[in-house]
Amino acid sequence: MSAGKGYLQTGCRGVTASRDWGSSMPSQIGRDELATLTGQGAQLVEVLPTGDYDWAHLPRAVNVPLKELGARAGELDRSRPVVVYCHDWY
Amino acid sequence: MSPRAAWRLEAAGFGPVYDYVAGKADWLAADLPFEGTARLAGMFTRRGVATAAEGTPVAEALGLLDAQGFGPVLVVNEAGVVMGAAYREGLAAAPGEAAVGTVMRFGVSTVRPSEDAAALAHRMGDRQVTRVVVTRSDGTLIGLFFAEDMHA
Repeated sequence: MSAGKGYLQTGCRGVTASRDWGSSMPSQIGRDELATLTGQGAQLVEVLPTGDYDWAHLPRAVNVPLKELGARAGELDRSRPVVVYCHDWY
Repeated sequence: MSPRAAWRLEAAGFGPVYDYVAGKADWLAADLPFEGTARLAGMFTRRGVATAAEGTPVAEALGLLDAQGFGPVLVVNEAGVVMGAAYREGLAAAPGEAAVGTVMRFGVSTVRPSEDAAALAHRMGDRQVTRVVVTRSDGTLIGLFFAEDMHA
């Protein structure tokens, strides 16, 4: 069993080491922190497709679908924190 | 999906980046305001429902029911969580000084305010249910959804 555990740990390290994810990592937040951050000027971004956004989105959220993020990231303000969300955990 | 977006933005030099991981499902289930074309159960839910504690005298609960005009009386605890429901027939059959908790039904079905209202009303029609209790994900009371209110 220990061999299996070691394999998984090595595999995870291998994946993260092969990508340039920048110097920090995104923080997961809940509803209370979301309210605090948006109250402090954070920009709220729904990354679901436009149809999902049109159906329902959080107040003042903008829509940048994940598939378009590379091309449209420039629409976001780099001077402000960003909060992203989709439908649920996945 | 949002974790991937958050990581991509971090990699692109944005920061700080936060991921509201519970997402829109959590927000809508909490009965919070939203923008869009959706017609959700929460939009049609009657908020001013009769409520009582388990220790409330039956006579008082009946008075609340009469004053409200529709029911049942929803029995909530100190945190606002729905513990059961007391119906007129059960209340009327009990001594006035008895506690509501002794006549309430425990197995109350609930739905979230984020349910599609039309789909919920359709499902209720299939089961010949006229009203259903609406609660947040934590069980706290929002109100009662009447299928007939969809057509009002």
